[in-house]
Formats: sequence, structure tokens, C-alpha cells
Amino acid sequence: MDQESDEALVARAGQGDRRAASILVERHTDKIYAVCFRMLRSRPAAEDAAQETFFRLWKHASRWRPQGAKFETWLYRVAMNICLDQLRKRKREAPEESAPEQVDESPRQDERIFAAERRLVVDEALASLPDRQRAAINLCHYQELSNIEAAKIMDVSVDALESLLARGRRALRDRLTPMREQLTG
Amino acid sequence: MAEPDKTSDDIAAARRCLGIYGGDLSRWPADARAQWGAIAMGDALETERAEEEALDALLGEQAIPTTPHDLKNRIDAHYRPSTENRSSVSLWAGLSSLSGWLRPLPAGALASLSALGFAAGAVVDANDNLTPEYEAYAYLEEGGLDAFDDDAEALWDVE
Repeated sequence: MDQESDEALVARAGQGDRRAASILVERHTDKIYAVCFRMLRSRPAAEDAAQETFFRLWKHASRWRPQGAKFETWLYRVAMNICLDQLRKRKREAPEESAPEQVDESPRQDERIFAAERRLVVDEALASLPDRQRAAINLCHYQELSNIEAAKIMDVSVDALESLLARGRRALRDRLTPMREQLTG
Repeated sequence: MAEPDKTSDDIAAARRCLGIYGGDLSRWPADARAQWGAIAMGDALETERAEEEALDALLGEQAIPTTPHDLKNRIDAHYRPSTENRSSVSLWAGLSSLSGWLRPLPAGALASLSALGFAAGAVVDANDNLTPEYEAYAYLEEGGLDAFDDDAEALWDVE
């Protein structure tokens, strides 16, 4: 039964089949949690977002129709919308925290050659990106989705997605120049 | 990799793809890889490729988020197929449990108790809905998916 398609499982979950729902949870929670964590950068917030994503799935399962989109694409889209909604609320409630962070330019930058600290700097650089650019990089680079799938999830054209990716990567390149130089020798 | 005959347009297209998808050709769309992959790997774009590969390496060092061990169980425990289904199951369960009590009673008393039972069932069901989990679920129900998507589209337009 675990090989059953997502679409068939959603239909059965919508009819009250708990086992089908459990398979969907087992199959998709890791990816949904990962995408939420990378957007929200907080474990509790990512857990809440992942749970909300599945609540929405349960709510719509009985009426869900493929309509050309893969189930996983739809689920990612719900998760991404929830994350963006959360980020928007954060900005409304604490606007000073939403200002793009600048990478530390102090001499300490040279010391950040250790892997853990380097990850922290990259994490800060990713966090400083506008939400949509971070979402595009999250979906394409980390979730390894195709440009067409990522564009569908973000409800933009492929051209627009590519523009977000290009701008995001350019911003990261600029912010991480010292570390990139270390890596390229 | 042997470089094919290339024009400045091809080099610009390959450079653009490097800037979008990075230095790992396996991440490129298949058509772009077939058309400009060889150029991207060639001498003309060596500097750009090295920069993008370095960025890919930095991004690749980021830890993979680990799903909390009990998250799946928590999601699973809150499974509800839909409000409609849930209500009908609750009503059916209520009627079933009442049937054993009602069987020995005369018709008049049965009618009165039935009315009372429906009223009590409604109260019990309403109270049941006031759990924190249900409140969270009800919150999600306030806006339909369309309304939710409208919000997201508005977000896309902000930047």
C-alpha cells in the first residue's frame, strides 16, 4: 500500500481513511518540515507551519483534485504560503528585525573559517535575502525541485523564478565574497 | 570538455544559466544543459564557474534540518478528514451510544428523550470543539484556500 500514489492516498484520506493519512504524513513530513525550517529559521515555528500544512491537507483532502499539478507541488505551495504568512506577521510585529542583516565586516570575519561558524555566516546571508529570493533558493537548491515545479509552487512564471534565483545568488555571492575567496583559493 | 563553436550570445546565455542555477550542471534544466552546458564548462567562463561552484559549496555545507522525532506522530494524531465527516461521525457515535438506553422506553418517553438527546449532543459537540487543537483547526477554516492564495499573491507583489 505504501507504493500507492499520493493522489489516491489523498482521496482515501479525504474519506476518513486514517491509514492513508498516516502514509502521507510519513512520506512528506520531512520535506515539508525542511522547507519550513529553512524559511522560518526556528524549530518551533517550522513545526507549527508543518502541522498547519497538514491540517489544511486534511481540510481539503475530500475535495482535492489534481488539475494538472502534482500533489507534492500543491503541498509545498501550502507550506510556502504558511511560511510567508508567518514572515509577514513577524515583520508587522517586529519591523526592526526584518531589516536585511549585514554580514559582519569586522576582523572576526577572518576567523570564521571553521565549518560551524561558516555555516552560521551563510545562514545569516540566506536570512538576509528577501523572502521570495530565499524561497526560490530553498526550493531549487535545497529541495532540488525543477524550475517548473518551483515556479508553480511560488505561483510565478519560470522567467520570474529565474530572476529571483539570479538575484538571490548574486546577493549571496556579494555577501559571502571573503569566504568564497577562501574556498576558491 | 570540448567547447563547441560559440557566439557571444551563447556565452551570455551560459553565463546567465551559471548565475541562476550555479556551477553544477546536474541542477540545470535539461534543455539549457544541452544547449549551453559545454560552454559553461569551457575556458571562456572559467572565472564565473569557479565563483558559482564556490557558492554552491557554501550552500551545500548548510545542515539538513532534522525532523523532530515526534512531529509525525503529532500530525498523525490530529488527523481529521473534514469538518463535515467529523460531525457526522460524532453524531452517529452519539446516537449509537444512546440506543442501548432508549430501547426499553415507551414511545412518548422515547420522543422526549430523543429531543433532549439531540440538544445534549449539540452541547457536548460544541464543547468538544473548544479544545486547543480544534481552535487551531477552526482558525485555518476561517479563510478558504482561495483567500489564502490571494494573500500569497499579494505577498509576491510586494517586493
